Amino acid sequence: MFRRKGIKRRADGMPISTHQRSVVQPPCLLSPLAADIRVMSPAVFLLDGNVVSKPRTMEAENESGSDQENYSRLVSSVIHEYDIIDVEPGARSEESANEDVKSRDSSQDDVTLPRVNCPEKIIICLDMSSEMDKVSFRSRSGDKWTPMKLVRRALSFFLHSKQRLNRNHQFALVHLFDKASWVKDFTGNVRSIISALDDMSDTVELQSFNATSLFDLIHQCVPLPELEGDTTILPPPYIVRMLFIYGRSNGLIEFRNKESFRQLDSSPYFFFDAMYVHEPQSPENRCEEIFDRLCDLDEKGMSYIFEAARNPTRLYDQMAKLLAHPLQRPLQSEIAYRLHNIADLTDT
Amino acid sequence: MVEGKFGVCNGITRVNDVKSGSSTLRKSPSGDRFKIYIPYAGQTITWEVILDNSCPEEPPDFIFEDSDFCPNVADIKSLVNWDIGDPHCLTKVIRELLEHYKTFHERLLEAHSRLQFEYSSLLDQTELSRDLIEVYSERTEKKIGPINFLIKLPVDFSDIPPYLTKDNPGENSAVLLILFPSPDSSRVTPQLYLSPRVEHAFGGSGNLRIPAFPSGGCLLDYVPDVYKLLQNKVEKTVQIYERRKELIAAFLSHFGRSVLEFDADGFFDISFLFEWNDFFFILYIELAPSFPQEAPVLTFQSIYHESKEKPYSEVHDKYPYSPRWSGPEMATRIK
Repeated sequence: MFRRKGIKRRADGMPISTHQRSVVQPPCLLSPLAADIRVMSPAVFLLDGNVVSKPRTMEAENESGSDQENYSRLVSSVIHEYDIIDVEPGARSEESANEDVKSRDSSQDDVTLPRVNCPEKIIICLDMSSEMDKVSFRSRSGDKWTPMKLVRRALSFFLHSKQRLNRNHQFALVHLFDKASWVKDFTGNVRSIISALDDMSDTVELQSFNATSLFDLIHQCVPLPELEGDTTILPPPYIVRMLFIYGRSNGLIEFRNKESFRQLDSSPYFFFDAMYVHEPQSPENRCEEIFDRLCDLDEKGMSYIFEAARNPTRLYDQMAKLLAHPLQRPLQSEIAYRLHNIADLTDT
Repeated sequence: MVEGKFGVCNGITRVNDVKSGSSTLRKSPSGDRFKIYIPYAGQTITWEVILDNSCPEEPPDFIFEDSDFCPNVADIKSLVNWDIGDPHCLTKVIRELLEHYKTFHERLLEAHSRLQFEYSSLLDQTELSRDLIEVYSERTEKKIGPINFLIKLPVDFSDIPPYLTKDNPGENSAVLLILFPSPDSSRVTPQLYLSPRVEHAFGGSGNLRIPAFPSGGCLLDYVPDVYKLLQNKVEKTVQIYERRKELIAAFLSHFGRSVLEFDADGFFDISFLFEWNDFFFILYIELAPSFPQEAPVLTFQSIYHESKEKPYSEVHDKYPYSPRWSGPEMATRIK
């Protein structure tokens, strides 16, 4: 188990984290074969008997590197209906410590899936709004990039790495204009996706995003595997994962008709991940709100939703985290990548 | 009872119980005559079953493609006691007929001392029982041959790794088919057939080689040799599978929260994303089929830098390692 420096410990040796993060090993990690992933409703982190649920929040912008402890907390889903009505300003604050939140009523309560590395069909949904072409990322050495350039480069790493993990993964590309449109159908040929990314059409000035059109398109074009046999053991022939890359700091996500989304999301073999690139958060933009909306799409609690602003390294890091296989990866709130110094390492 | 007949026959998918055990049916237009294809001793024999639509209580007639085979009807009890009400009536008849057919072929061997010797020595001096062996002699006007010996090897497959597929991979079995081109030939050809799960566990059909049949040799020596070979292979496969699984499990228990993917079928590889001093990188750990003799190969890959259009990566395979360490110990040391 990872132990961080300076963490207080309880009498039984379990660390006390000031952020009340779950430090219990998820049961699935210790029995790889027979294990299953429990899709739990978010209010699951028990520490000292308190049930707390942790909303995902965006990281406070920090040039010198992210504060790892603060960055991801699960959104509680009190809101199911998506309107473009603004969330009340006081409803969620970024620095809020643990709030008691109602648990999500998920139709996927307690579905167990086999922890197998079956092939993935990954749909890269790339925002084509012109904001993607505005320089907003800067490195410490002074280099500047547009989100689109960085995303393309990060995607190239993603594609190569993912293919190395399993040659049977397939990728498709969808462009998000006013409506979503397929650019490349599923292929294992990573180069062809990369050249489609290199050759793409220009971005366009866009306002809010019509999520319905995207989910309609996907629901229409991508069949999901049927549930057959004993679904707790039998691996599906593939799973479908959306990699939603969104770059608007002011364009809200409109989602009036959720029928297609519900149909897709009702399958245990469908996953929704997102990478949100944006301007640094300020009163002049709506980044936090948009991020919260994105998190709301994670109704099953199985998604990885990341965001990055200004810091190119962080974008690469987040995209790398998205490599993890949805059936084998820990919940987002459980992920921990940091290796400690040798001096710190003691055997568990 | 036309429908009933079809229903009865569908229950015969296991007619040939010992070996591969499935038969297929084809109906000819009238609906009360059909052919049954039965796998036997490496061949498929075709029998035609003739029932009478107008009097279903009458037991069926049979046409055997092998015209020499003509059992005495009185000997076939289930035909004598034909009861159309019993859903297994046809199954029972076929089973009995198959027994007679087997005896028929056994008798054919008696005319050839060498083959007869092979057969009886297998029965008498090995652990194989009669129900594990089927013999078949192809006969033409001029000669007899090839002669097939189909032998089911009683290997213990109980521990082999699971094979998760949608289609039921079926029972585990290994079957040896030995062909004698003619009764006294020395060019005897053996072939080994493995059931899907066993083949999968061995890593594919190319991965097991059985020795050629020694000229001048006999089944009595050869068959037990193949059996031992198989049994050893099974044991070895199970052992190294367990070692791989143990190592992957150990890695997961140390680093499960950083996992990207791992091979949940054969446990041959696992990958992680790690962060070291704000620097992220990917680690691929790959196990060769010869693990644990061969150390796992560690490949580090950058997520920021490229070389030759691919992410930059470095392989490390020379590090302190011993095959004798247990899984958890290996994981700790690699850490």
